[in-house]
Amino acid sequence: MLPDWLPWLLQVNDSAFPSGAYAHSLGLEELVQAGVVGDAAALEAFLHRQVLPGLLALEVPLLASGHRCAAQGDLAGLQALDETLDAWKLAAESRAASRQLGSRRLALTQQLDADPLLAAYAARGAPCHHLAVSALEWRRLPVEAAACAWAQQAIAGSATAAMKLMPLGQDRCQGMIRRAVRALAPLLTDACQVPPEAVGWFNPLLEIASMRHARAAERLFIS
Amino acid sequence: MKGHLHLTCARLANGESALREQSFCAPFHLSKPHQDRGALVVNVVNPTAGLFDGDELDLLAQVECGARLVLTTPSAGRVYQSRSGTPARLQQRVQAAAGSFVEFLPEPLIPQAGAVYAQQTTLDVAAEAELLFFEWLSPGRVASGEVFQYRQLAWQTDLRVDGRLVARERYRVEPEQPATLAALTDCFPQAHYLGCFWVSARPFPEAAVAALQGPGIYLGWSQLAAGGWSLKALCADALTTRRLLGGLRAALYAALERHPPWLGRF
Repeated sequence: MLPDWLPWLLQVNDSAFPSGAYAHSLGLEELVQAGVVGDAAALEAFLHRQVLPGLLALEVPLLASGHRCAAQGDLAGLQALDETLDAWKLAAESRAASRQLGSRRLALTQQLDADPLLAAYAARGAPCHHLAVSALEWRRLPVEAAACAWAQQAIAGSATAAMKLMPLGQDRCQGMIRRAVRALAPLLTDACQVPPEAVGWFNPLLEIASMRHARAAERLFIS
Repeated sequence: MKGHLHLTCARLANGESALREQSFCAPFHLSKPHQDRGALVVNVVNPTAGLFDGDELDLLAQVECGARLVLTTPSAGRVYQSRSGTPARLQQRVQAAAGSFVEFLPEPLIPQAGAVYAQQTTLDVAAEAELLFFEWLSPGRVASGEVFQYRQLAWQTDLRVDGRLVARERYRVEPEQPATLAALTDCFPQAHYLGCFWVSARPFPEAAVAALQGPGIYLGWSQLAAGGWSLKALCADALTTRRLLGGLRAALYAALERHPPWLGRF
């Protein structure tokens, strides 16, 4: 039987869903301009060496934590996680982007279906980071499915942003996304179980890139 | 070896700063504190060769209202090979009361081949206090060709300003898992990492910091969520890192309208 959440997930995780994610490269634009990610091969290496490990060690465990709070209706716990995300995101631009995407997503999804828990969260004055709002919105999904949805949109976001930054065709881009998700998927269940004290990832390069992008004289993306 | 260093820096009636309380035991040792350019400079010395597996160190620095403390080390911190596989642990806490100033400036950490090291840093800065915090992670004993040969570094840092968590970092770097090093080596193959927090109500000196950029330096800076700035840099080598650190200190001190203590190396 078709799970109730699947049609919903297909709609809100679709690239046509107007969350505004298409306008963000989350630091990739600066890395391309700096020559650190210079071509398609370097982009794929960047995805596998930096984006995927960061998802597994930091974002997916935090998403799973938020998902547990949301599934139990623990909005205070979710808000505490949401506020901590302000501290995890040292670069103001990526912090603002995350809040902007989350707030936009929360507003849009409330227009689609009445959901008292979403409305209650919107009224709390929380930062509404993208990760926290996604955890809340996907609380009826199995946590691994929510983790996969989060990872897929993060990988696809970087890869499709790169199409505007370097010579990269759609076919190659989709192949890249597929290989990345295939590599990541078997590891998601374990990533959802990472204990709080082990959550974290070392990526000063991407943090510096995001910090520098905010001051770039010319830029295509908001972040 | 289990050691501790607990100190409290207070402002005296004449305006100078002094240690009101101090307690330490090996492998911590203090050289004689001295006044330099309006601050009390305290050199924390490790009289042993460095840190070994199983070592547990606890550092607590409390800076009271109006006091000015510069806490530094005279030489690099070395972490040696862990024969047992257990880490050397350092817990360091800095608490800055309202109206105080503290600079925390250790020399670079050099994790040698096989080192396992865990560091936990908690910075609590009251409203109207000022903080300059630096950390410098080297890739190893570069001159000996020993680059990224340590086994594991586990890093935890929390910065709270006026009680609110504004920065959190959790790192686990294991060179045997190359992905954990990618963010360092994708920029420079023997990258040094320099991190800094600057907390002050004064305007951040963006133009002066921007002027420090140059070859062999990938530098960024950004305002934190509520109070303070984070600065991060990857540098191609130690000399470049040293020059950048000196430039950053000069720029950040100038913005604080203070003169940086010389410390014999800047």
